[in-house]
Amino acid sequence: MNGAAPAGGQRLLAGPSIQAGAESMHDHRLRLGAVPTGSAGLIHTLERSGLVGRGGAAFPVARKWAAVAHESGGDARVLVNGAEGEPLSAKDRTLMVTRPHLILDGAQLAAQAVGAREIVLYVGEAHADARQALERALAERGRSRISTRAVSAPDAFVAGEETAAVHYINDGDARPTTKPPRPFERGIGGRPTLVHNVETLAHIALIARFGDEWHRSAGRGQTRGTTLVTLQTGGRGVVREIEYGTRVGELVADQSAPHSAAQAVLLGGYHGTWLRREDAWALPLDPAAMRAAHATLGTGVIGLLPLGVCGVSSSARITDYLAAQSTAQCGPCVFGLRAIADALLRIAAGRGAPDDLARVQRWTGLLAGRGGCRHPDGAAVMINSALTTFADDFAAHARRRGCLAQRAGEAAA
Amino acid sequence: MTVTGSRRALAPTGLTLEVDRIKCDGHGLCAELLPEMLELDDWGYPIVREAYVPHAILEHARRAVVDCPVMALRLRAADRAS
Repeated sequence: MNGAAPAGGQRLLAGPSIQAGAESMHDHRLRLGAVPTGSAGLIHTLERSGLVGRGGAAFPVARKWAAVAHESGGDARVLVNGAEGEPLSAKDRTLMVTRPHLILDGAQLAAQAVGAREIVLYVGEAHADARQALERALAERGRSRISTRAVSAPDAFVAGEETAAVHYINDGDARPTTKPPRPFERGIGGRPTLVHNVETLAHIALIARFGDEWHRSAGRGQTRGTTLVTLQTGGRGVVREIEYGTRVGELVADQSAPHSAAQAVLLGGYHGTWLRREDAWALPLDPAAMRAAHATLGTGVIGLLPLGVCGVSSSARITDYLAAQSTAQCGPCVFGLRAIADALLRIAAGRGAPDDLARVQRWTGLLAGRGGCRHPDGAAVMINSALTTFADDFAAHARRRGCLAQRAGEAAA
Repeated sequence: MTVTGSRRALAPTGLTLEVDRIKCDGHGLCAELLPEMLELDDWGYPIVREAYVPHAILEHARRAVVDCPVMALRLRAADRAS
């Protein structure tokens, strides 16, 4: 009945090439075996596995399950989060397009284990092929006692935040709501709701089949298992599955295009951290190790900034995007983040006022913990890391002494 | 004020002041009532400098909660604060 456990570092993406599109239910079951029934005991397996969520916060999965199971009363909901609003990430849509049955297996297991009556697939409206793949896969699976429906998530950065997702599914409004209540207390239709990123559910589908020891057999450091990442090398994102603990430099070297000219790396996406190349290269991609380095794996984005591209302009543009993506509910985000973005854009263009840089530093220090969601906190992490990583560049721009990166690029050419 | 009275005034009440950031519209009354705990940013939104409410200003804190025009303030038991 059971298929073979994927060996080595390719687990979610083991099997047919990701160029081949969705793996059919027939092929999926032939390769991995039928999905077991999700029992309450699965939570202990997940706890031993150490599985953490892949939506950005790396929260322990077993603790989330325990919270929902405690509140569920046999009538919980499961929210399958495939919003993927992070512009630099492509790993979730790649997984939805190629391995829809792994995700649906995970959702089914979770629903059975925590006592849920409904599964909602929340898929970014920009990812039409992903929604189509999941709906086709759902049709292949036939009738189930747990009803499942798909909802298109608005194409917005914050739409995947868990309370925004619940708010949109309930009321058509993808803005975060005040916590508490959190979705595990009151979510879809007012019922306790388990919210998981699609990749997290796919890992659950494998752990339920092959066990926690198998799961823990991959990984090089404290955090066990494999994870999906998107490597951005300027214009094009490449999705890879890596063992936790793989070093940034190794991942980059494994790809074919030449990246030796990268000057800096943005780890974790637009809410992530900039690091200088020399600080990033040896860093293990492991949430625990990265926390110690004040970095985050976030949504699994590794973005390379090529030599000759201005870090000041890049971080100003990202801040401008994040300010535009504010859901405009909280003053510090509406006014503070916008003011920071405008000042950064002025500095980047060499038109900064004398005190702009000092004001950016002060305002950025006031973002964290002052929003209804963590959008301002994430923006502050990115901006502070940019101010440190590109300190010389910011100083040169602020003093209107031109762009160091541009000069370095010209010198290298 | 006696020594014990002063001690009691500074002692924590076990309550924290929380701002509902989504409700808050930056009216700023809270910062006027509680300058010991709050100040306003450049746009008039509160910055919580000290979340733990001492006995001495508990009445002011209660008034700030009641007087907020959009009911964006609340006192919560500190151990429940997230």
